Amino acid sequence: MPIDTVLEDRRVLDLRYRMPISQIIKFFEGLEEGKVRGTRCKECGRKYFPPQTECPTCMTKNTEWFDFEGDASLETFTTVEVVPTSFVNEGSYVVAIGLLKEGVRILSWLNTQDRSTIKIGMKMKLKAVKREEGYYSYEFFSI
Amino acid sequence: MKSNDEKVAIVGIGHSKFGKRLDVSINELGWEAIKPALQDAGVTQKDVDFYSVGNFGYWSEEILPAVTIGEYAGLSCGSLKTEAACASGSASLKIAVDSILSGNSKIAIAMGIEKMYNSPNGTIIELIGRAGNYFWEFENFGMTFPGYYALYATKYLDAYHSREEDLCEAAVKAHHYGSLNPYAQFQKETSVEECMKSKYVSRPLKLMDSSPITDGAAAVVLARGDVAKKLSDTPVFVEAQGYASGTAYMGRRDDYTGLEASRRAAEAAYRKAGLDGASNNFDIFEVHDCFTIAEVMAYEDLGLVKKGEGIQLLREHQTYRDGKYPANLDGGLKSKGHPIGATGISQAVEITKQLRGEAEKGRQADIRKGRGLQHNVGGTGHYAYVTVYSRGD
Repeated sequence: MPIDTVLEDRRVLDLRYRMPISQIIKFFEGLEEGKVRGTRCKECGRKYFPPQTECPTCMTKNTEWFDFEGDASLETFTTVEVVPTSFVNEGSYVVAIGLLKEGVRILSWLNTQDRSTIKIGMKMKLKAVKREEGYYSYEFFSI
Repeated sequence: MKSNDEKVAIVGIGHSKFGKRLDVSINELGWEAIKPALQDAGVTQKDVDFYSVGNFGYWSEEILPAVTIGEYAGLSCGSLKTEAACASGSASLKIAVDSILSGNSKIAIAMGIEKMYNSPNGTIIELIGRAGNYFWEFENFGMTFPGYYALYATKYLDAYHSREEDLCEAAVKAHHYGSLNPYAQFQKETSVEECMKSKYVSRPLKLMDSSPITDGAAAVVLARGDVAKKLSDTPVFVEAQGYASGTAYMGRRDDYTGLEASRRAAEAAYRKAGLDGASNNFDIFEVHDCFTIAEVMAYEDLGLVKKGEGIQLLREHQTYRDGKYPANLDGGLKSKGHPIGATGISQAVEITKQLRGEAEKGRQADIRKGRGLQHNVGGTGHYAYVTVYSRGD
């Protein structure tokens, strides 16, 4: 039998990261309470999403958490048809960038009854959601 | 005016065949680029003071490719691996150029390499997708690289009343020149119809809007200007490099019709080279067309045309060889292939060939001004490198 010209690796690595969230634990607590949160620097007023608890401009930890009301307009979107291996059970999904009323943009999934009706500029609502796997996330919903 | 010992020039080039290269290991593939580069420069390994290897990695088994490749290639001087995602090659060039400009080297090699097919396609799609912003964009939302550029494409097509067919024009051009490039992964023409029929990977981008998964390597031998003049009759000077970093999180980008980091990198490159912009100063352009929309945005971010007019350049064939701004006459990332870490050096090799007048039949630009411009983006606009090359005559 001829020897294969490619050697299949016999060493398998299960890559699973441990990601520290102690500084932004309020974000995850917020999701469980149905809120999506960002942070704001109390000195310069800059809002942060992804949230961070230090403002690099003011060099201070003088930041506070605020809840998004959820009102957003659609900036751009795509339907991901070829999905990564770890998302194969999801089918295709719509990813959107929404501009929140608070002036912050967020990237997330967009849920809608009819994908053909998605239009740039349309109104959406950002909500905390509990995924089927039991963990919390946040997603846009068409109105 | 800089003296020769304050300049750096490319004096040797090497380029592997791009494609699915399961016939070679990463070290063998690296040698396929280093060997011709050394021979072209007329130097040996002992003449080399430093080398850098642009590489993203993760999908291939060697974690320290700079050293495994160096070991195979007989290089034992100082080295490192550079990572700037798809601009890792330009980062490699930067470090090697800097080693000469700082006085630490007279001769250096900048190479780039990627061995993507050592992993299955699904793993590759996953790894590139993770390279946007893992925590906030991948973990919950499964972003992919076509997904990111599709966000730009959706916005661009809407903002400038363009069609998917217009984007396909970039693929048609890429494949035309790829068909003339013996190193290209795809050496066959395509059509707008064929492109439109290909399946969606992330709407509105289709398979034929996308650069492929590629194995490949490229290398350049660099020398201090005075050394370069002795080594080569046709040195190509690295006149200036501009660079900038954008944000990882997409929500923090300024708009979705161009890459802000590209614009800043281009402005810096023109300023350092003492040029008034892109439109009147270059014979040849290499732009980062990882997707068709990326090529259109590159035209605009480099300042060849105003925002929204990039599509018009494609429609009018102004970036073909005989147009106003010949771009990617090697087939670009789309048709030549896009081995992530090798792409930036492959672009440098191509510009050197063009400025020397050595490009293959049917794809040699008319060289009058003696200058070429390279645009290399890493990530979705995370990193941007713009490099000005000149024959110096």
